[in-house]
Amino acid sequence: MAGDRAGIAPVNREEFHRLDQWFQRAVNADDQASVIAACRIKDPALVEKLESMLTVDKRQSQSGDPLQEAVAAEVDAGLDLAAPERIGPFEVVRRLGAGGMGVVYLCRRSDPDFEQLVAVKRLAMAGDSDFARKRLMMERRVLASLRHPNIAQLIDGGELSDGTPWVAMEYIDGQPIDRWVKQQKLDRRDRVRCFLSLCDAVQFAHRNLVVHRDIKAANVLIDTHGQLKLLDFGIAKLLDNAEPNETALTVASTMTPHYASPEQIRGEPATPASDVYSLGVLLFELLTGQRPYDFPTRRPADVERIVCQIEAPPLGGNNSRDLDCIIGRAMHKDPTRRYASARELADDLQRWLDRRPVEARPDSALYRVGRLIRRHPFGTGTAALITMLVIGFGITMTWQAYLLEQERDTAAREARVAQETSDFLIELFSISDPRESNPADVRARDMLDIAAKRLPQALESDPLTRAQLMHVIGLAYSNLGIGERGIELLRDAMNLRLEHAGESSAPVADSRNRLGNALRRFGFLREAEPLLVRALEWRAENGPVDQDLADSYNNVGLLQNELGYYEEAEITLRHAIALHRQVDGEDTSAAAAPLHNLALSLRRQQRFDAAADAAAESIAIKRATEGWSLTSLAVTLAVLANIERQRGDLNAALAYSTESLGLREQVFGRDNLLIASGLVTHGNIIEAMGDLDQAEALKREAVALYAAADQLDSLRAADIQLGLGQLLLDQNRFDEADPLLKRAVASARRELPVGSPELERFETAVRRLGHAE
Amino acid sequence: MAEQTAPPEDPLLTELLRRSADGDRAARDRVWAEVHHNLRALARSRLAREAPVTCQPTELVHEAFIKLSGPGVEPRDRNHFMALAAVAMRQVLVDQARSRNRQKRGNGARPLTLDTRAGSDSYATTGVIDVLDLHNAIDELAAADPRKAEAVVLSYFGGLTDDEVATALEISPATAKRDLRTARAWLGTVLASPR
Repeated sequence: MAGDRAGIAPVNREEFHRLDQWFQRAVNADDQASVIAACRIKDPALVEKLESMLTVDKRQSQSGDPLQEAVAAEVDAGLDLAAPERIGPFEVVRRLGAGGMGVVYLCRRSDPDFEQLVAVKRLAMAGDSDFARKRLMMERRVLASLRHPNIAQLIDGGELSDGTPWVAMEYIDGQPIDRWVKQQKLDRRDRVRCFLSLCDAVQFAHRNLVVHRDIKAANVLIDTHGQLKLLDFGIAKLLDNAEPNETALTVASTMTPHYASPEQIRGEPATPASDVYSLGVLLFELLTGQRPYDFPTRRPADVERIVCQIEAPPLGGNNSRDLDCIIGRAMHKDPTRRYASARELADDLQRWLDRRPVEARPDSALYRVGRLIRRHPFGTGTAALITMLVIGFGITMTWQAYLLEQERDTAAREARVAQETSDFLIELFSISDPRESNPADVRARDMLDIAAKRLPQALESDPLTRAQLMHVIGLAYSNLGIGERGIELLRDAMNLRLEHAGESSAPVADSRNRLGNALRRFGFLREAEPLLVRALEWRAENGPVDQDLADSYNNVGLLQNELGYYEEAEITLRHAIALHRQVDGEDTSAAAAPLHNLALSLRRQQRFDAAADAAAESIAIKRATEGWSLTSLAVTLAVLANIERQRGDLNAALAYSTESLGLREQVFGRDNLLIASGLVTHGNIIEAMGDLDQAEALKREAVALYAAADQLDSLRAADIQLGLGQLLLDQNRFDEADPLLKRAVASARRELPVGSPELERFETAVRRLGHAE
Repeated sequence: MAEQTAPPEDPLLTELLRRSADGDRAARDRVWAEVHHNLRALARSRLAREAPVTCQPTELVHEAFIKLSGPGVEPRDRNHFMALAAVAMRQVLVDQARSRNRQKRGNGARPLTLDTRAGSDSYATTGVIDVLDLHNAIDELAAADPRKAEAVVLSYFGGLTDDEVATALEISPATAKRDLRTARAWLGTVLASPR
């Protein structure tokens, strides 16, 4: 046996055993160098072998074992023994390789005058019906007409006597792009430049309605002149010839999962967007030397999970943010969110090369919310728990013990918080005089001021208890319409919790949710967005399926609506309603809040009947349940009033609005900011009824409230100013409308995304100003 | 829930496998011959029908197993079979490589070299490592540590996972992992060193 190749020294059994011991010690040690050093002293004869084994081991664990591949290559080579002598007019020289769709041979055209080398591929076609053959012929014709310097030209095609189709392509003497860029030691910028000509080839094919469907490093060769050639349109399929069910399966099962887009993995037809995805994967590979995903198994379920759910890792290295964005956009799970074409991808890369800002941006936080809902119909908390429980009894017991301990700790802390809070409040009440007959808000406000002032001294012992109190007082302030003070306290509370409970904790999620909502309420939408979404993400991943989770969905849904994502908002809000009902039963009163918000989003979608139903349902709950405050009832009444006005029932609108305004006045008094939007709602109805003077008076009163609070530049004030401005516009009083609308649109542009229909309401009004001038 | 199993197509093989796994050497030799024959046939038939042809040893072994075994094969027999198939695969590939080398010496024709292939999933990066070198190195390893050599044959030629290797050799998964890691690193070192 040893005669095949001499040279491997016989191994000493005992020495091998010692080597094994050192090697295992080294690979399991935290400090490998110290094991090597020990070996050098105690067993110097082995240290060199040990070091080279460790080097090999490191390489094997990083980039695979070449020995494994040598075996596979031999298996592959074995099939060459019976290559055919001729294929069509071509003489077979040797086998070039094998791919998912067939074997490729290097062939020669037997012609005395010139020798033409071609690569001939025998296709393993599933269908051999007449129809399949005709279609293949047609595809061949189209492919033959595809002439581009970066595309390997299709030369000929036909069928063997047994009906096996074959195609002959321009033979490219070159090497795959991934190896080439490594060998040429190209830097990032040159790799990107090289990649651009590939985009060009793909774009050309797309314009001719041909999708490649199998773009990968092995199909992109650089020839001996340095020219890039895209090979193998063997499985490309004409766009206008789509037959999803027939061919998709073939693709899904033969193509390597590394480059396959989620839709291809799911067996859906490939589109130009699928090629854009594969280009993204290849770009990642060229820039990092690695493919974005590892596939430990090829089981369809595993492959699908990885490709369809896991995000590609960042590139790493300096200044990679823009490239990460570009790859992220090209490899987006949702085909409609990828670059619309290979050209657009190339354009963005060119911008990167020119050091101009790229167009690709990471997904907004709100987009992630939509995915959360699609992925976890009812949150992940339960699923994770179930997995924990089935792992095994032993673990379950430990886990339960852990949970119990946690619960005891939490209970103890909550009891302490409750005690200290009530002590604190009792003390507060004894300071202020409850018999004083001032309006409710004034009394509450005084009390809160005293409370806030005493906070720093009280409860030094437990920062989390203190945070809890600050949090509650902050909420109270913001519920009274005192935004700045409320937001400040909520923020301080959040920072305390971040410091003492940790970034990933329920109290921090609670803070983010409440602070985010307060910010949203006072018009700071941009600041609110990441807070609300992070709270939701944390709760969906870690928390139980409970009212808090539903509340997070509700707040995010409301924010989506205010940003102008009406349909997304509807989905999120319906999800919140479903969660509340799942947690507390079908007739839960907690659903009233998301129902109110759902009415808002339906109204924005002009679906007034459905909106009115949702509002009415919310009102019914709020009237019937003690827990709901009069102010929240008043707000929903105002929504219904708006809907009725838009539906054209002005009398009903007026009735609801009057009730709403009356309730708010009772609670807040007439000089509170929280009444302003009610004044505008009422004004709009009166305006529609024809009493323009009274409408104007109401709207001016609302604007004056914001002026008095020095908050004319908030997004909430913008809405109020818009209401008054539009009334003035309708009367052609442009000079008066001008400052109002310009101030309003400035706030709206600050807080609302470009292109949002919410922003458009302001822009439209401002345009009317422009036309008048 | 009663499990309904059809009688195996080739009860003889199933029976042979069982006896072989119990230590019957004659049975073992017959199974071996059968497996060897089938792997060759499989490799040839793959070419004939031009199905997806990127052959990993794993695929061939698994396919051979499905072909050879009836539905009534027990897990223990399955592992035993896989172990046998790995040994057979090694023999098939070594024979094949030797025969190609003979051709090369005989008629001077240029043999298939892996690194000139293009346009496919190529193993070109590995290029120089020959199955025969690997085969010899494994023999050397067997002289020093037979169990590690056996483990590495199962892994390389049978495509068994580390856990399957453990079951086939009746050792703990941790031991199998450990054995394989040492064996791979050692083989890699031996084959990389200049000769």
